[in-house]
Amino acid sequence: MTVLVIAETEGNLLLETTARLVAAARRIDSGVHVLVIDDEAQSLSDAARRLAGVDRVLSVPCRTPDLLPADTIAALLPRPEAGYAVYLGADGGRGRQVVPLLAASLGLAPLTGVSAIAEDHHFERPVHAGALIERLGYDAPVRLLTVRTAAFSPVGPAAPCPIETLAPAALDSRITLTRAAAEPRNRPELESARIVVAGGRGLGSRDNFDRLGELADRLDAALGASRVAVDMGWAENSAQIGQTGRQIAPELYIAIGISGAPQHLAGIREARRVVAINRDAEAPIFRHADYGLVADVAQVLPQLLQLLAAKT
Amino acid sequence: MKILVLVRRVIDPYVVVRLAPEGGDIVREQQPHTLNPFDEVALASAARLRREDAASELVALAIGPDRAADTLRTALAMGADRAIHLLTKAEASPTPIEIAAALRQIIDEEQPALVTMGKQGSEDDAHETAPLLAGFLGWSYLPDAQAMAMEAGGVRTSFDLNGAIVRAFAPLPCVVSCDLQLAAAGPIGLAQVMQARRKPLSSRPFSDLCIEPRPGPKRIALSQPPAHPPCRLVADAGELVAALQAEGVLP
Repeated sequence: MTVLVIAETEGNLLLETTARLVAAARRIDSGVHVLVIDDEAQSLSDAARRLAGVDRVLSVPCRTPDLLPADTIAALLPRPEAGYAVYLGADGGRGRQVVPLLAASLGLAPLTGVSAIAEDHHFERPVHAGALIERLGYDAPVRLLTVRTAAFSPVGPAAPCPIETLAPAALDSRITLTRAAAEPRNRPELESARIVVAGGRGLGSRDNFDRLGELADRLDAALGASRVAVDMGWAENSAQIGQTGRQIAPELYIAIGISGAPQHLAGIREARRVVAINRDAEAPIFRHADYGLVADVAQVLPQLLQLLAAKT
Repeated sequence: MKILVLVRRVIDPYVVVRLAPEGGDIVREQQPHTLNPFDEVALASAARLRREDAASELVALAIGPDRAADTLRTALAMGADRAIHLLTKAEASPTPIEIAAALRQIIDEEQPALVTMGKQGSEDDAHETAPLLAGFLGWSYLPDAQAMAMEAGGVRTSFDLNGAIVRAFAPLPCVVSCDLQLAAAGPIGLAQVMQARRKPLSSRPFSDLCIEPRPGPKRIALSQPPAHPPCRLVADAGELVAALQAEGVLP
């Protein structure tokens, strides 16, 4: 029984999400194939074939992989008759659309948002913004899953496996996609950063949020935001960490001026160490942090910058 | 152009949920419920299109027991012209694939050109109903819309994909799921509530649609996650940095 993983890529980058998907796939079964939409050079497929636990990469040629709509991807996936009993995609990313669309074409129910895979092939996912964990059985001839990739550690490298090139993607979707020219990303991505620094309402101003950016730079960290900070215009939508935004799994998460509403906490469940800095000693975030500092953010920020300047 | 909006009744997201003593669900009795915030955004966005005459009719649909009618009355007050209630028995909640199958039948009858709903339900964050429906219908699916506009016989949206903004266009008919950034629902005035009472709200049993139950994921248990160990409070920034360095988390 083979699991087919839908790779997440962007430009010429195989996202770390894919290595996390492979880790999840290995918990389900030993046979893992990864499907990659790739250009002529097949550099994405080459990266995927070097992930531990991958038995084969299925490479689908496409001139503009980033612009291929999800319905086209769902339609080109090899069907269960080809030997696949499990399809696995990322809960964020393309898998989020592709897996349910595939499920519809097979007439089968999918399961989305899985955060853990138990030995007995039961699945878990957080519900009610992570307040509770739901455990599910999933008995079906074909299982179609999306997983919260933050909950799975990425697999490491291994000797390359074979690449099988499939027929080119048909460009017959009624949907057209375009992207703005990619801005150069000068900070690590939220999902793969070792350290994430995030700010919320307690920062008080856009200026303070920008100073948080300085802190992120000192730590070579990704910069995130709470819903409030985004609504205030201090940060972009894409920086929002939480139930409806990005879900992260850093070694260290520093939450500054964030109160810790459940919808935000839902995005940081997988953080290994959480530091909370907030003026309000009663802020819920302290109940979910490893280290807490009750202090005025406006004073602590310059202190942190000074302490860390000495190190770089 | 007719728009159909799916509205779901959920427990108020700000309620601190508790496990029901018999297990299997949260305590819902006497807890405030509300319109799924994601569906509320879809509704507000559709209502705006309706006000601007980009749509000729806005129909709201809810699937659930008696109380689901509350969300339909809210939908009517927010600008829907008509509401449809598919009545279920309280214990038997249809799954997303069953909801999609039911919607497909209603869509055959109603013939909307645009179907919209929130990108996920706030209770389980599942984002299955909209794409399953689009797949069943063979319609284009535009996910997680943060912006939406009607143009050139279709819908243009933008959504986030792995941190980048992607713009999508699809001709009608299509299914659009909505993210919170799309719209803010304005306050509902008393006049709108009074007006809503005169708008048609039709009800029929969900079982009339003869939706076959399908095998799929089944809830086995609901439990609390392990409690987080207590936080170590530090006195100042210096102590914090020292502690993190001692642990090896900070260089």
